[in-house]
Amino acid sequence: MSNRDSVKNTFLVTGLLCIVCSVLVSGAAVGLKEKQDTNKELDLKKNILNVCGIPYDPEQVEQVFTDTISVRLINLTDGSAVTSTPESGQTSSGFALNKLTASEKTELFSDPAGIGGARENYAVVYLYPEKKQIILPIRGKGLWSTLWGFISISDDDFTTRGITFFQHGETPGLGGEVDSAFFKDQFVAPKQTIGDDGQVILNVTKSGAAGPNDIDGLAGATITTQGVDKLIKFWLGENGFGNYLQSEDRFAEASPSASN
Amino acid sequence: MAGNKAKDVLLDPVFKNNPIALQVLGICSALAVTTKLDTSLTMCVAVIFVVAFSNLAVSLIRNYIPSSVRIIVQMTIIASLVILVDQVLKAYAFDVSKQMSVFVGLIITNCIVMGRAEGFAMKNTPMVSFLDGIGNGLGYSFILLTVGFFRELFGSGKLLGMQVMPDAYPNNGLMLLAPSAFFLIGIIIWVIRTFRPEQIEEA
Repeated sequence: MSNRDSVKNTFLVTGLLCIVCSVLVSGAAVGLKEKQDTNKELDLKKNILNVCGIPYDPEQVEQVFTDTISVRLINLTDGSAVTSTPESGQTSSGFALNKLTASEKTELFSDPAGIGGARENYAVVYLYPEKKQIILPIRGKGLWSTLWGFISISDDDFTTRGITFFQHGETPGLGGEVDSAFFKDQFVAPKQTIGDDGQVILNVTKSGAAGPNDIDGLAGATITTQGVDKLIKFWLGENGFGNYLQSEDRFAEASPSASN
Repeated sequence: MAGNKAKDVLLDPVFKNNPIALQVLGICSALAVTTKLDTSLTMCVAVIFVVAFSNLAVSLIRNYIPSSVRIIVQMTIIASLVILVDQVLKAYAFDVSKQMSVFVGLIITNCIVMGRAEGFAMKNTPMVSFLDGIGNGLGYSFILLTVGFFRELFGSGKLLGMQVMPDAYPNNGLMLLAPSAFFLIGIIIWVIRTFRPEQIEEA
């Protein structure tokens, strides 16, 4: 034991330890990945059902989802629905943002939502034909993290029906309250999102929502609140889903599971 | 003698030498995850696992750890175990792990784990260290579950998500906020010290 503090032994012990630990950690990460991905997908579906206000039995998320929700891939540049699989191989069921090549995204001159300076050309939208709701995926920068969520709006008059954030790393208790009932319930009551001229008129304000299109922001989380405001304005605006929302046949041939 | 020691090592930390109540370690997670009983329960299992196995691993190699890097070696072991727990939770208890968000990862910084590795496992044999880990995990769990029980019961009128309070009971929102955990831990410490006056520190 006399040489245990020697330089050689120090490197030996730490080196061996690192190998053992990394094998353990990567083994767990790889081995459990499939199961985790299934969970994530299920969680996504739960969030979509929640944002539409569809009641469901936690055991039957998959079934309820296929019965009520229709999925489609749309081209964000002109707002048209994509029927054939684009060359990238992106489909409504397999969509990987990090695999986009340069030709599949559009550089943004201004990036108010903080999504990395470019926007993908294709996006998946979810339709709830029974209540004529459109569920759009939204994301943007808050204070610490990118917030990922869905917003549900009515197809008739573009009023809000619900919002949810399923992934974020905001401060628990402050910015993390974006997924609290207090904040989300404000979107369940119909609020106008888009004006007659196509501009987004929904505001997430600092405090004390004054106007009819105002959402009361989160106290103590100014930057998260501003982030939510900006990301909603971006995704509903012309660089986001604006073109799609102005298109004529948003619900054409939409019936549950038909597009799966 | 050996049997006695094993029992002492396992059970002492629950009341006699409780890591939260007497040593006042690991308070921050005790505030954060105890709003509901099921998150408290998951946290307890996770912490017991991490303390027990980090103690075991540290004790196994205690004679080879160079003293200059011993804290880093302990941290590496603890961090690996915590990642392991986090991955397993994400795979098998997704909803709970989502509610617990960062606090699973923060087990790494839980002073109890580090304290036991440095203070006990470095000097004792693997088996005893393992039991000491479980014992300290149980001590931590005892406090967490008690706090979680009362916070969920009075804060949301539920236990493990099931409604137990009558509908007429108005939920006490204060119980869902962090300060209530301080009140409860304070009361628990008071009760324990009433029965075990030897724990009272000199003023």
